Amino acid sequence: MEDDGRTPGTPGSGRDDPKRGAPDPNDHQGDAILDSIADGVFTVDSEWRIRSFNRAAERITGIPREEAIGSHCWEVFRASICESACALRETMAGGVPVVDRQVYIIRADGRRIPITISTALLKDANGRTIGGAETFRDLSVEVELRRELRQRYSFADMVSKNHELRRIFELLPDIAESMSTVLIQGESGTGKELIARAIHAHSPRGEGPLVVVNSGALPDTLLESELFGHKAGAFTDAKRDKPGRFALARGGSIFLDEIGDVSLAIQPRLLRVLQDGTFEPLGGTATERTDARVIAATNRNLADMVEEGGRDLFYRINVVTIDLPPLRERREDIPLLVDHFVEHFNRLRGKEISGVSPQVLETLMRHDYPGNIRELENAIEHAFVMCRSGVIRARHLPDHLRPGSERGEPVARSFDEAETAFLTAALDRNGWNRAATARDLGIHKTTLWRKIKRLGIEPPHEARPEE
Amino acid sequence: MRIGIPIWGERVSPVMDTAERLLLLDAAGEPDASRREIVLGQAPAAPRAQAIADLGVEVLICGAISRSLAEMLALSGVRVVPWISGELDEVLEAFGCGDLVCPRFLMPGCRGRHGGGEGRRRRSGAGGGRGGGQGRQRRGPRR
Repeated sequence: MEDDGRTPGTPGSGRDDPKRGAPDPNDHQGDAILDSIADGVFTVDSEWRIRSFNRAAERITGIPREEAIGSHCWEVFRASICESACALRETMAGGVPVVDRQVYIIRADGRRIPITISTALLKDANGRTIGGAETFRDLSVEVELRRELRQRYSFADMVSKNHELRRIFELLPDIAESMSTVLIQGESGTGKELIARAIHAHSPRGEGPLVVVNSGALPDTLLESELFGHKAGAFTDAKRDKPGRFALARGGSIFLDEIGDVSLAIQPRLLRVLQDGTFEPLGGTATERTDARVIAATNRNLADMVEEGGRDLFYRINVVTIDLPPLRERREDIPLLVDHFVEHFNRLRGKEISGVSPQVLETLMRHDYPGNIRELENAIEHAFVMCRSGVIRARHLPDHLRPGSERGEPVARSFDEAETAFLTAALDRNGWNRAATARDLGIHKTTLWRKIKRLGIEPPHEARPEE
Repeated sequence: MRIGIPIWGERVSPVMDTAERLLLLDAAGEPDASRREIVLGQAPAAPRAQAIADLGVEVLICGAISRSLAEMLALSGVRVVPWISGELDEVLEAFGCGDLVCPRFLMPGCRGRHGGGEGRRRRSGAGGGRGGGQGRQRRGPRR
């Protein structure tokens, strides 16, 4: 055989000769064994020419054995990794087998076939490497079934087979069509904004703007200006007129997140715009109108808010209520959500991660998710940074989720309990000085005060909080 | 005529969808053909097709190509001559002579898929790029 003088794995420069690497007639027994295997198998010699090609390989690639034998493996296999990350090259260079790496190949009819590949070295009786073997499994059916499953259990960008969520998905088109004010309740990270976006997208105003306001993140004066706008000269820094979010949402929808954190001082103005669509910008005298559809969300219990004096506003908002269950109450969705996020980050990062290992799935199923779906999404995103290709394994997970880690044990507490612990630690760190704690956390001190009150956080006896 | 060929070392890149470099040739087959190399990187199908069309490529000679990418290129007005493998210079020479579409240069499993006659001299009578005709090429490899 002619040696093209190239490093194995780089394309050769010699003239092609289809007869090179012709099969050894004594290999019939080996061929029979390979043909009995359900996975595709091919072997290459040290010049990357195919020496054996089993029946399953013919079926998956659509290439007859006679045409494959003697050809360069990249001409036959045509995989997404041939050029830049050949698994056989990796194995033959380092001696380490590749296991279950997900890639795709392109058949002669132009179809992309998802497959997993594994590789091994071929050695002669003296232990000298004479080539490599690659086995591959067709994932087309599995991928198609997963896609069908996701379609059956999805609405917009949400997936669930939980009966409560399925009922919500069924109602969403009617809710969207109705134009009624909607209140979405659920812990942080349960997907309230996704629901709001789906309602807006499926409503007759879907082509209009969706304006999002996080009512809990802004102090009162700024929130008022954000919502209703201001006129030039309304306050020191108001150099020119600025339209508010209600004005920007004309012809569309406005999503008021964390509505439960809106102070009693702002509630009457909000109530007015909800009732008759009118408001006055700060510093203005003329009344303006908006036709924005209001979608509100809160992670608080409605009954608590009514007790605190927000009765009128919350009865006005509470026309249609959607309650989103926390992830720990819909664990059956975790495998579906994991698939969803793996596909999402594959698209976003241009990777080809095939999924998570059974051990990782078990760990993810046992966790309690105080941060709900957002926490699961963050864990998968973290794993995508740590895992280059193939399957996400335990070592790719964030520290607190790794098996064996103390923090990996299920945390049997609610989001409120987690938030209480977080805020107590921050207050402790700042000597229970609320202004310093708020600065430390990057939130307004009024917001901190509301959270302290809602969660019933009390200082230890020795601490003297400022008044 | 501007021709684009995805390259891998001195060969045609095996998979157009993941090819990282593209060779651009004006007046291919002529002794004074000008050559320029473009980095395609890891661009997904749509921007990949757009970039090739924006470069003014009229004919793309490539290896394996997915149906979706081939369709995007066709919609952008690029004529695709797929399933080609081999040494770059030999491929270009064969294209110049109108002898490119023959078993010697076609990838295994694709030898019955081309209409044949692909190349500068036979272009007017060729069946086009992918799926341009049926039946195995009878002409043997060039000597």
